[in-house]
Amino acid sequence: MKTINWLVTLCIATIYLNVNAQSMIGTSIRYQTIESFHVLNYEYQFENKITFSSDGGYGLRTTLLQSRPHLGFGIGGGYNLIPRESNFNLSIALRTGFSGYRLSPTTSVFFTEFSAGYSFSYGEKLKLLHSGFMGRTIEGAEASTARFSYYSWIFSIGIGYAL
Amino acid sequence: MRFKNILYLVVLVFWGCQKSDQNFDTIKIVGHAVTGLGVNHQVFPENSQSAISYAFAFPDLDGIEIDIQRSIDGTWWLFHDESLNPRTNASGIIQEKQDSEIENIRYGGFNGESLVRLKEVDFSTSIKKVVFIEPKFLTKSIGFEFAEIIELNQFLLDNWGNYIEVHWILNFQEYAESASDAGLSIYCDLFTLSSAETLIDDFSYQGFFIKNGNFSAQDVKHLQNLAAEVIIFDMKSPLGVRSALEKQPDMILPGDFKVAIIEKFK
Repeated sequence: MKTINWLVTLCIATIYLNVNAQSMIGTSIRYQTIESFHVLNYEYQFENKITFSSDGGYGLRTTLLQSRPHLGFGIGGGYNLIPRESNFNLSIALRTGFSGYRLSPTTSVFFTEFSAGYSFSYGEKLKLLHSGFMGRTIEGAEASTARFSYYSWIFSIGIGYAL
Repeated sequence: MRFKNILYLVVLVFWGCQKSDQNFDTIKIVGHAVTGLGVNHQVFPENSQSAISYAFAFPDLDGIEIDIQRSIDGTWWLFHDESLNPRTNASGIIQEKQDSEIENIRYGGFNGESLVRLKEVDFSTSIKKVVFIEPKFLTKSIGFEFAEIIELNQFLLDNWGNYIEVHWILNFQEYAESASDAGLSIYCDLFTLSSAETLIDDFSYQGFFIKNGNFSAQDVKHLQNLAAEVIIFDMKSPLGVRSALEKQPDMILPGDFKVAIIEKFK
């Protein structure tokens, strides 16, 4: 009985969120402390207030110029500060990301980021996207137990399409 | 026409991804100003303690190069540029500052690193890595005597001899004889091939730092035949690193050490 209650609640919540929700896909170039990335974004916004976002991409230098795949992905959430009727969307947001690549046959490096910032979009169907984040990155290498933490930032610009 | 373009692109990508048939295993990678100089995605400032600890965590990095400058008080501080501006929150030059002033200087950036004295650098995370030390702007250092360098060398051997292998970059030839008499391992920048023999025979230089763009693979071979070690510097892009590696020097001093590690093991 308990399970059924949970399922019903989940169904209602899903229907509610989908009725009042908007999705968007996009592509961005992201300049970060560790490397510049090309990413694909997916955003899910409901009630025009809360946004869930996810992104995945690759490091431009390592992947394209050095043939060494540097893959990264991230998830985040934001709260829209602008009223729903507007084509502008300005959110305060939190994000966490992970990326890594093989440096040499014996060493892989990986980066975990935690950051806070803002996310901005403009446009009805086709949108201009921009975001900026600041936070900390923890870097580690497979061949070493040492971990390094430093301030990091993200500056991103791209385009999106509302589904 | 479109097919031709696509084919051209595919060939270009495959050519870019092909594995090198040359072996670069014996070439050492040394971090320029510790982790690199003029690097876009640098996480720690050059010549800082955090950069040194960071660099030593990478087993594929064989060593570091650091730059030192002397304050009015005779203390040696790690710093690369002549002017403190724009890399720090101060202006002027180290040679005109007292230690008390330098202690308050911070590098730009969010991490706010301070400058570090050579005698306070912690090398304990190194496992016998090579450390090149370049004393800079000696002509501006009032009251400088070469005995200070010999004393610094002894200090490093006494305290860190089990962790690092110290070499000096001495571009002031007037001190070279004193340096070799004191048993220092000395290197210098080389600008012309013709001066190499004199520098080796008359001043006991063990090797040379050469600019990547100014010397060919044959020049490198020629210097190695003179029993000199060759270290190539001035390369920032992956292509620059690749061209330096293909000259088969003893070491390279890349702009970004991670770029160099990837190219070396590709």
